Amino acid sequence: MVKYELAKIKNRNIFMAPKEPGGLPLSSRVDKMISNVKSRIEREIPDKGFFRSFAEDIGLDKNDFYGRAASLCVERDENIEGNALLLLSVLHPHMNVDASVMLTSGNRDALLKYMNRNDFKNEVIDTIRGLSESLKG
Amino acid sequence: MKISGTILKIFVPKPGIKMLVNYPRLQAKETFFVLADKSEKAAAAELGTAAIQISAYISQRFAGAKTQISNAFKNLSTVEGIQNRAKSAQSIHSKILRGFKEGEVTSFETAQNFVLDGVGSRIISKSLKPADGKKITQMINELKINNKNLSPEQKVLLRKYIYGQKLTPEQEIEAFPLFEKFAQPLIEKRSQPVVDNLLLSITKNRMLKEGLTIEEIKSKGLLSDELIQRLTTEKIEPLEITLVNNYRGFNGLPEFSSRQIQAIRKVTDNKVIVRSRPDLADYNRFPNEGYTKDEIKDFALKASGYRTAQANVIHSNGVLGEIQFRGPLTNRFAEYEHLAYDLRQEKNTLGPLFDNFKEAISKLSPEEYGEYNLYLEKCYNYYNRLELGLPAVKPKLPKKFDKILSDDSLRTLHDTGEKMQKELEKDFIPYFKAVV
Repeated sequence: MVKYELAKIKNRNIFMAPKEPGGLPLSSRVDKMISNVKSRIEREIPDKGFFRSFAEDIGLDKNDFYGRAASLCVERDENIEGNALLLLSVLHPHMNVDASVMLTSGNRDALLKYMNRNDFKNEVIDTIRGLSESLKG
Repeated sequence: MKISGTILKIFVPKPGIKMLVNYPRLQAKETFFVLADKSEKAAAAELGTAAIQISAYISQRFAGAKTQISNAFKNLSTVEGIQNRAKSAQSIHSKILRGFKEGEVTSFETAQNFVLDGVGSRIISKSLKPADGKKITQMINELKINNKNLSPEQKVLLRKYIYGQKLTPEQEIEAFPLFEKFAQPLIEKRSQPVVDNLLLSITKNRMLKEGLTIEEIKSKGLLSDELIQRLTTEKIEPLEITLVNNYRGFNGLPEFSSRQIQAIRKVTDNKVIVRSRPDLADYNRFPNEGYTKDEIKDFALKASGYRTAQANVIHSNGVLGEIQFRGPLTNRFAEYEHLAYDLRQEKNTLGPLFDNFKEAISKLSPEEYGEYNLYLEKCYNYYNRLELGLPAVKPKLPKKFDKILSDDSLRTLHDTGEKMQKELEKDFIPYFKAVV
């Protein structure tokens, strides 16, 4: 159940050097992240009933972004059964906080319809830039 | 454009506080200035002048902003008090100087926009009545995490954690995610009325500014039926929110629960950035790149354990403000806890009364300061548990630290300092004097 390696957390206030994203250019990594999330929405969100929230993330190039990593998250709506919030989140380079924004919310079909728009990828990239900048403050 | 000459003067807004200003520009009420190629002293004077001008701008709009906050939250019986303050010229100066050093402040406009909390408001929600043992047992038995009841072992562990019984570090790590979910109903019981009013104010603003309709609110599931009813029958104060921070420490509980944060996300749509750590039992936002085994050292929003939900707001008269939501005990602790942080950030505005405290803080190595932060975080968690009506044991300052750094000592120092400052400010009139 616990996803965070809390046992490793001993020392505070340590600057984390951003991890270098390997291989693919940003555009391809974003494509892959979107594609993974879409597949998981189709597979994991039922018509009715409980499902677990999930996320897919990519590393960000430190020369282009202040943030260290970006993530597309499907968060189970705790207020409406069967619905989810689609969030985009960017992790601070020190890893002490992330900034996120909701892209849309609704049931499985509504999320997929939103993600299938032609301009969705550009929206993701632009939002990553905005969130990354916001972490400087 | 008229540009006045530069005659530096010292402005004394409060006893013992000095700011350099460009006096002719201040008198002429000119807001245009150039910082490039200026000496550090001249740049500080331009920013000092801007700070006084921004302070005047905020003061003129303070009453309007205060009324707006009061209208939005005054009807709640769960609110113990509402506090408002206009940021002082000295505080603005300190902030925009930092912005200048970071390259963010280059003009009057950028300085003005850098001061996001010109009007600061606090909504203090009352503490809950203490929960009895029976109630706690019932809550443990009914708790479901990811749709599953707790195992008998988890129930024992959680009970020990709630009652502050001795646990190994590994057990504490296992118990905390359970505690987060256990406490969620209590968090919501304390803060739901305030969150409801906030949701209504944000929605009302969107209706006025974006033409959002009741039909859209219903079809998108933005508000509950009860809140839609209130929206259509009550007079709601519109509020434009631009950022939400749900601050907490590493082992602390948030002021707003994950469910409440989701509700705020939905009514703000995709325009507002939210900084809020998901509960540990929920999910990992960065499963591949972020929290890998050997990399995580820190995932606290605030190392000192500072806990407050904050929302940046643009008041209807244009002034920028920040609304803080917290409980009465953590509010009191936050008032004096930040002394150590301010000193470490070289915001050294404390008088001679604090000399011993300053010395004790300056002697701490980074590792010791980290350890001291753990103590402060325990204090925050202690006061927050009391606010939620949960059993709590007051933390003890580790013996290695000077006693002046303890919770009780900080409070006494802070209160004495405040009293002395008030005495000094009695009959004090701000003045300018020549630079010698």
